[in-house]
Amino acid sequence: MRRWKSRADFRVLVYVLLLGFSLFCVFPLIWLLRSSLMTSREIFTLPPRLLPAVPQWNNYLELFNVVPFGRYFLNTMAIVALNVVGAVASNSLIAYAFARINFRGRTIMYGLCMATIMLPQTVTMIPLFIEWKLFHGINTYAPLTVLAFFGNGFYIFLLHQFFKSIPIEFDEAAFVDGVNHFQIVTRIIAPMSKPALAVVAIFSFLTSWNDFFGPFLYLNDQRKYTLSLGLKYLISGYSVMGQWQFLMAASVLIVLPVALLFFLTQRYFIQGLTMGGLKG
Amino acid sequence: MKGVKVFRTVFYLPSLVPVIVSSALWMWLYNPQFGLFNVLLTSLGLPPQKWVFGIRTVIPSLILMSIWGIGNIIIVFLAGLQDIPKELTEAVAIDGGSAFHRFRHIILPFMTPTILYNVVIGIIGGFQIFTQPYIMTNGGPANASLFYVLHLYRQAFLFAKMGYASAMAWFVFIATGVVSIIIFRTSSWWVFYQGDTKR
Repeated sequence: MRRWKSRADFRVLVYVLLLGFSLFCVFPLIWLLRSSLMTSREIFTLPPRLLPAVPQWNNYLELFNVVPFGRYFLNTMAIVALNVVGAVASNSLIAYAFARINFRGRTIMYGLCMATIMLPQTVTMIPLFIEWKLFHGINTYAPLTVLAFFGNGFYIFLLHQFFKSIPIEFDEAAFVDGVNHFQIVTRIIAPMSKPALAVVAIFSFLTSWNDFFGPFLYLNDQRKYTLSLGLKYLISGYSVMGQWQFLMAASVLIVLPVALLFFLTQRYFIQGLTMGGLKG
Repeated sequence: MKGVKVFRTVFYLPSLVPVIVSSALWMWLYNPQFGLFNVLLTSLGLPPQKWVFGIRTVIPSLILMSIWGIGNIIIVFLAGLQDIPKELTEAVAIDGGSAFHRFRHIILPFMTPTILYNVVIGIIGGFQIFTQPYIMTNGGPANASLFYVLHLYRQAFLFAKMGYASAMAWFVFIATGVVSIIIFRTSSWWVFYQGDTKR
């Protein structure tokens, strides 16, 4: 290993590497934006232009005429809202039970819960599909929302860790005042666990907003499509027709809410990800 | 270090992009005539590539695309790095050790649990890849990107062979399990845990 002549040299190298990877990260996103603002003629000019001559904001409006984008948005929001509510409500109760109530088989049941984290989606895909078929759940939102109300191993783990760190004296004091378990969760534990609950809410928002495979498997009525499913059909249509500007505009609209959420709640993102890392 | 927050945000941004959007975007970036990558290559005087449309380039192209979205892994690594006791790296400096010594004898051993975690998660995730090849190549060209789950999906939902597909699902489950166990077994001789005095 050769020694660097000076620390300054080393710093320059570090910055060069950082800038290089930054370009790699950002340039595709810039390309996405720039393509979404071009005319179909401009997008296919050779040599290609970096930026559109006149930004075609109309592409975004046009998009709503070509596909029921507003409807897809509302559909997605409905699914996302149910998932977030379900995840926060169910997992906080489940994690509370594991963290605070002594009952027979608690350790085994918690272990089973944790084992489901390792269970890949691929394995459960077919049995779940058959099950939802039996329940007449195909082409409804049930398969995409109901399970959120029945707990998720990873969120249970996160909340369990957090609840454990809250001193039990709070619960005991409340018990003396004649408060039941449910009230302890809603009045004592939940208000003190806002950061952890925020992580659960944000992650379940992201997972259901970004989910492609679920809607793809269960929905076949166009009016029920989510954004990601709508984009999938835009891809099969437009990439053949070469209407990439609409495809890119739709993509920007799907990314925008996620980006917004990220910038507003950056702190919790990091927390959630590194909490996940602790498991290892 | 100046600008470190900006770099962190920038590195993380791509992993926010939903997989369906990144599939659409990268199809466009990989477009043989008008895509960003071939434009860059030709402007540098290099030959354009077929990317996801070539038999030999499709897998490397999908790997390059997934490297774009490694923000989550970066954050887990960052958390690991921040957990390394400062005293130890300082001790190396006091003893006259170089940056390389610091890396080899302090940082690397302390990071092995993080590396183990990311390797296992990465392998499990790798077995599950579906959306990118389904959207971008549909397993092509000439089945060069026919991934396991894509094949499973086709068996189950295109050919209605639910039983066969379930067997495939069990197989991939067992395979991931076995691979994870093997990695965990090897971990005793390369992963270092704090408080472990044997090493």
